[in-house]
Amino acid sequence: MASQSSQGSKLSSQEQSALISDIVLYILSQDHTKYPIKRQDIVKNVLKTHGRHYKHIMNEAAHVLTEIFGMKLVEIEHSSNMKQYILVNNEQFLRDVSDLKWPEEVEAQQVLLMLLLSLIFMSGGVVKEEVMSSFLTRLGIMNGRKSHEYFGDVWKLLTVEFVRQMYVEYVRIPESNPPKYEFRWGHRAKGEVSRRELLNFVSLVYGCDPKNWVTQYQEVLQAESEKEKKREEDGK
Amino acid sequence: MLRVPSNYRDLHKRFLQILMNRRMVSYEDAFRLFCKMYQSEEPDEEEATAGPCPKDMELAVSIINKVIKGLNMEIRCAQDEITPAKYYLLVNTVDSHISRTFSKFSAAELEFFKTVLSEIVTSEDGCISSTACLNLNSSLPGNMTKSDTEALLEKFCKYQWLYQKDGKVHLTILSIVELEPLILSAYEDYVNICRLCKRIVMQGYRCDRCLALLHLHCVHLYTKGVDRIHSCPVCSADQPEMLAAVKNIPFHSGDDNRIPSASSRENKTGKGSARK
Ligand SMILES: [Zn+2]
Ligand SMILES: [Zn+2]
Repeated sequence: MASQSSQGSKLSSQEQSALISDIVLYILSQDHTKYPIKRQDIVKNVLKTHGRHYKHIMNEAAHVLTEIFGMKLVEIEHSSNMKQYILVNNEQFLRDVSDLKWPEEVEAQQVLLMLLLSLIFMSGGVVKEEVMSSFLTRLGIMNGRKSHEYFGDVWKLLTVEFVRQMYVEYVRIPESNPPKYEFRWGHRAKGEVSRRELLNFVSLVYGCDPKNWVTQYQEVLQAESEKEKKREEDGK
Repeated sequence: MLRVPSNYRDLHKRFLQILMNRRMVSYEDAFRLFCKMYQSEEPDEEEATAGPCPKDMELAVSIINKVIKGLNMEIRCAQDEITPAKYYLLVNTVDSHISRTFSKFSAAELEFFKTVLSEIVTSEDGCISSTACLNLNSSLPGNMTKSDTEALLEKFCKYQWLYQKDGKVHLTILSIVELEPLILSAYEDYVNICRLCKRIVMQGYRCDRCLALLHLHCVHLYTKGVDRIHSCPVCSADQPEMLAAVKNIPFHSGDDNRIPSASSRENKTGKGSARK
């Protein structure tokens, strides 16, 4: 039995490259949503009956995404029986694209996201929801739950869309009753957003030297050296 | 398993990403970004201070194309039929089941696009009026209202497969290039092929005798020579209007293979007079 199954599962190198390129195209085609990609969807839509080659093919696909496109396929722990991935771009590469003009609604979302991530970063990594909403209200971006003419339904963007896209985490504070929530950076933000740029942006707004924010500046340096280390490891 | 050549660097990945993001970038914008990326990659090289030239970008594009060929993707360069601006386009070279199934459009939306495409390709002028386009909903299954159709048209414009100008709907250079195989096979009897470059032409100069349609930018190159040829390249009929048709279009002086900013360097009038 064992020999039969291993024989039946052998793929020609042509079949293998076709599957790899299909997975790469599938992952890229989903990227515009920024939602995590589920393992079961990859199997259902691309691999189909070749599910048992999953691991090998996925490794190769991840390799293609890095070597050709400069993007990293990151596995996200969701629960033990549900694997999912996000495609994390190089923070430097994202800057190139932003040199071209964005469509307006994307631009608005980008601005909002940067404000949100800045506030979390400057507050030491976590912000309570009531702090967030009063911050946005003070900036005139939020007015209760009314939709903003430029930003749209801001609270929904923050707590649903950005969460799903893994830019932020919106989690219940343990043992809070009635339940209270707080915001943190999500997986994608950690991989794609440059802390240095955020700090420069905030410093520009306040008209001071980025180094004056001692804690944040330390964090910038630390994050950069960690990324550098990782790059070196990957390069090996 | 995958082998990427050693001359495929971050610069190429970055350039590719820009095209994946935008699908269509003007040659000038592409070159501006290319220079910026090039300089950031090699900050202290002597070469970098002089800056890259368009040839460097074209070389980089050919390196990228070799690498992405296996994924059935290609960066093409093509010229707009009306504005004569040159663009880089990222196209899928094979209509794969993945790109079809997981496109941003539903089957019904694609059906609508096909109807618009068919109307445009079979039209006399290579475009249709926006009103006619919005009325197409009645010929489609399902009950699309006029405002649904309007929103959908907008969506295809955003996707850069269509564009609207002065009350007309046109195909973009991106859709013409990307859908060329489909258009050629489905509308063989309607589609015009420019005799000068052998590619699809939707709008251009039409010979009043044999009715051949030619790209304006092709006509421009064709008539540009010293003897100012103005006979139809298909039927040889004398076509003095040809010269007038391309006279007022802002072709760049170096359109054949250079970008406009490089053309000033090529200005050699000074040299010529010094010789005398
Ligand atoms: Zn032509
Ligand atoms: Zn003719």
